[in-house]
Amino acid sequence: MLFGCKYILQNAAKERFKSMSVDIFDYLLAFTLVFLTWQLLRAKDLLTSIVLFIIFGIFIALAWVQLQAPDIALVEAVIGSALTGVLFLGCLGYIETSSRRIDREPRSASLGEKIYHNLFNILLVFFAFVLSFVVLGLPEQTSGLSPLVISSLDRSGADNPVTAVILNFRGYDTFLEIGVLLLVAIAVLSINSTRSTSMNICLAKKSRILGAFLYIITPLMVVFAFYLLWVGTKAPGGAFQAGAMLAGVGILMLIGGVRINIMYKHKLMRCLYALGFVGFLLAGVMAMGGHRQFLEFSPRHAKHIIFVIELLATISIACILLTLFAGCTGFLEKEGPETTDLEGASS
Amino acid sequence: MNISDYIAIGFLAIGTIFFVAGALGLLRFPDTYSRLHALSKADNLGLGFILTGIAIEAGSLKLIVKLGFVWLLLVIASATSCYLVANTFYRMQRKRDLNQ
Repeated sequence: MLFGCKYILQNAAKERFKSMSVDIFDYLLAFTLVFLTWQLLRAKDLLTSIVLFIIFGIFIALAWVQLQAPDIALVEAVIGSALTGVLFLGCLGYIETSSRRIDREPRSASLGEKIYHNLFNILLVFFAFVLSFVVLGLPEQTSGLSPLVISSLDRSGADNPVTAVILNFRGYDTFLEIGVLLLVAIAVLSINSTRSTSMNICLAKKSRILGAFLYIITPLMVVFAFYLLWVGTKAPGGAFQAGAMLAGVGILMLIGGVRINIMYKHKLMRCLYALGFVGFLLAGVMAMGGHRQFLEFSPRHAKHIIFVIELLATISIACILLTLFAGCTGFLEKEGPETTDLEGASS
Repeated sequence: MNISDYIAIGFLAIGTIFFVAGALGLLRFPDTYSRLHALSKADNLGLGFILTGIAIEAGSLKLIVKLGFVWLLLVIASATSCYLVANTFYRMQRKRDLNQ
């Protein structure tokens, strides 16, 4: 609602009114973030904490939009808020109902004991104050690195400066991030039960409404994911967003009762997990052919190389995130979690 | 600010009122079913008004069509999730009643 008002008032002619409205929105957003975090940490029930965490992620995405970073806002909303929230909720299904209440320390502790217990919190508050002073002392409007990036944009093979930085100028960071994701997939697969070798669906009954919803939404989401991948070179988008959307479709299908018989230890799945990392590595090594450094793409071929890397990374990220979900919520075992054991819905 | 801006702000205000009413219903209604009712109906209506307000201010037809898609998808998703929550709650209640 506030965002809509800001959008309207930005089209209005009055400068003074416009700056005031944006300031109010930013202050309210900052206050909401702090308030949400406080309530999240104070909650007595784990379900409340998780729901507040999801909402907090959406507000962080709003903050990123306010900071003129729509790419990061997309990634935050999809992976940081939605996917992580779903992982938390899946784990919650495994915890017994009695352990879901969080016991805080009793009120009848002396002041010294309270200070001792909250030492870390006091340190954090002090650190937050120092940090805000530092941030407020930064210069008002600096252009930062964007002139440098925009002047080198034609040599990078992408029209979107964010994609140029992520995949070409600082490609090494993205390369290592994809490697970290691969390590996470390996870890999740190792600690899961070895009783089954495929992702089976363990819900009690297949929901018809969710099935109908999936009829409508699956093709839309797949097309939109590949659109996000394609448009990432010119506009906000890219591999992580597209991969996360595909993983979202997979999660919906798993929950909705679609039978996905993927042998997660099968050689094909292993190839799909490693595809992004190996593709990036090969592209970097092949770039060294013409007296160039590792990952220094030639400006003539950079556009195509970047797109191929993004495509492979999308497939990889989608498979890894789907396996994360399946591992965290028990779809990788023969017997599934208790699906109707959510006490929080009655409060 | 011409007349269309005022109309758009009016739509946004009405949408806000519906959202606030939905949130109040979520907090104050006694039962899960009535809370779900307040949440899905009032929030969808509020969303429709807000999107209409933004569409009045939108420059191009492409943006209006995009907003229409957003509204359609959100209505479908909201209805589905409302049904799923209600169904899960109903099955939980049945199980609890049968166990007692």
